[in-house]
Amino acid sequence: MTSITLRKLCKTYEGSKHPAVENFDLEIEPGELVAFLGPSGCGKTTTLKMIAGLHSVTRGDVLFNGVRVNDIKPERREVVMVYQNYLLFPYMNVAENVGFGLRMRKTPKDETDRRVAEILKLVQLEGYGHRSSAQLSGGQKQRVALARALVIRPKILLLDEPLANLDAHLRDEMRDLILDIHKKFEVTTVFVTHDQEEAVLLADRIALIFDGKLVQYSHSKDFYEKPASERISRFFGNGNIIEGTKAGTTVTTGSGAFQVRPGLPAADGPVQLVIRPESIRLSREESNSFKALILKKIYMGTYTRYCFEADGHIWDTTTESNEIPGYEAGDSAWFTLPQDKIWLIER
Amino acid sequence: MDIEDTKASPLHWIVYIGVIVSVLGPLIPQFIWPFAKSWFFPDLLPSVWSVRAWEYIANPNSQVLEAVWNSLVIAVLVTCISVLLGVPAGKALGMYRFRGKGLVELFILAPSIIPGLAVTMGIHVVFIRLGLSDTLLGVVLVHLIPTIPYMTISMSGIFANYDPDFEEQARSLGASTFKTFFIITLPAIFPGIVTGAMFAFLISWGQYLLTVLIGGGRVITLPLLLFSFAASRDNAFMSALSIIFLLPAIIILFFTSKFLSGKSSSMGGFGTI
Ligand SMILES: Nc1ncnc2c1ncn2[C@@H]1O[C@H](COP(=O)(O)OP(=O)(O)O)[C@@H](O)[C@H]1O
Ligand SMILES: [Mg+2]
Repeated sequence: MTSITLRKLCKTYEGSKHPAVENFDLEIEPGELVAFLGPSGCGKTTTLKMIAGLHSVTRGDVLFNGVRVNDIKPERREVVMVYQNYLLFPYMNVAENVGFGLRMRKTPKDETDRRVAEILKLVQLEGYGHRSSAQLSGGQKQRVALARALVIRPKILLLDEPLANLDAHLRDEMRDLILDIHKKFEVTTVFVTHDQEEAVLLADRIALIFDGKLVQYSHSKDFYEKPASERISRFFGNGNIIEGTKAGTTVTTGSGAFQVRPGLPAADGPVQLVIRPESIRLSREESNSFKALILKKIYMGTYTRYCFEADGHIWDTTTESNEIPGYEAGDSAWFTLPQDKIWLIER
Repeated sequence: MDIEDTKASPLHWIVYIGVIVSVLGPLIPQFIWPFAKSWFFPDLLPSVWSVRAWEYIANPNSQVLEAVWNSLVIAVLVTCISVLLGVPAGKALGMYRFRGKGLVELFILAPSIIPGLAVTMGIHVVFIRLGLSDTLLGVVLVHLIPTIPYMTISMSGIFANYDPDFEEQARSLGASTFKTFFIITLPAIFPGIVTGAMFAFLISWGQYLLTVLIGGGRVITLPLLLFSFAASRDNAFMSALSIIFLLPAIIILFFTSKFLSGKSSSMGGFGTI
């Protein structure tokens, strides 16, 4: 198994003033499944291509197992990239496409045939070898592309937006397939997505990228509970952010003073208080409670969402539907921000 | 894809035959004349047959073989150079954005907009200085004026559809740059090269004006002979020459329709996949 290290990795495309990728420092453990997450155009594909050796590095290093590979050609890296649009070679049938990498490695024909058949079975395309790629659906093309990459048993698998072009029901299937494959082949895998839910569902760790910069690299839970900035918090669907001032374990805001747990990394002074909608409780407790006006009640099936307002600030909360206390829009109610669920961002 | 499976209906056949008759019909006498000695109006076929026209063509005095050879050499050279220059130029225009691209496009298009005569006068003066006028090389160079833009524009169309990610995908699967070119790039752009090359060949093969001006009547090509014999009223000889002149066009027409029909054309630049 192979680890990947990116050291101060930079890429500025020729003729472009702004770097597409700026000073990436990143360590991916052997066999890990990591997601590159970020809005379109933030540099995800560019980073993948530098790991694959397909695009040159402007500055910085790419290391596999601690060995610098900047100057190693893509065909020698044993890193396979699977593109968003599958890129099946049009004049080759499915079996020829899948066997391409083996042919390039001069694998004997009978072994090639055997391994191609094996891998097609794994991606549930047994017997599709003679089809032309034009006869396949999007999901099938994706699986052929995956098989073509896996058949050569790469050290590193790079998947560029593997689920983006698929219908919703196929997406779940493909996600499971990727997880299965990752487990079975124990291959270090990086996949790119602009969808935070997808990243959370699949990845061990997420590298969040904004505007060519790596802004946070951690386990997915941390993005919800410990976002490093307001923008990250909002990217992960949380707008419960209120400005305040921290002094010890007390944060004073427009909606009152709240107790926070000791040991939060933010220093005393101006901060932003962040709390997940599902962490807010609809109850009156000893501390951190305040009364607010319910603006909206939205029934979402399993969950019910309340929007409420206190001192000009609008909060968002989600509660399990079978536990709601029966408030309606227009009611006043007590809300509590549990002390141990509050996170602070320094301003 | 479905087109190949569709059976032509009777109506289709009537249209096909109509087109073929109206295109090829007028050419039929052309193919009979070279073998006729006397053929007068009401007769459907010549009254006296002869191969005199072909004997004359084979005779070195007629300069026909020399002209065919010159035309062939010039057209082949022009085609090769057009391909060698037009493919990279087309790639640059089709795939890359760069400063001054609009200007370059204009320059490449210019020869096909500005009348060839106007340009050639100026070029002639320069070629005289360089000792290129009245030479085969000079004629080759001047034929490139219309063919390179043609080649470049048709290749830029191919490359605009071409996805360079296919090359990267091949590299990442273990193909060297060399193999990638032959297995991935070439098949994708080959239909474009072949069409471009064939038309470059035809443009050169049929070129009269540029050849006369730069070749100064010393480089004899087939179109030159055709023009000079046009006044001779020798129908048998003229028709024989015309057949030779038409031959590449017919071969190429046949070849293109075979080569570029169906799947292969849709694969130009991998555009539709
Ligand atoms: N080949 C290229 N040449 C010039 N600029 C590029 C090229 N590829 C990508 N870019 C630019 O680099 C930035 C990052 O692109 P990319 O890595 O494709 O983003 P993402 O995959 O996150 O959507 C974008 O601003 C894009 O326009
Ligand atoms: Mg991308």
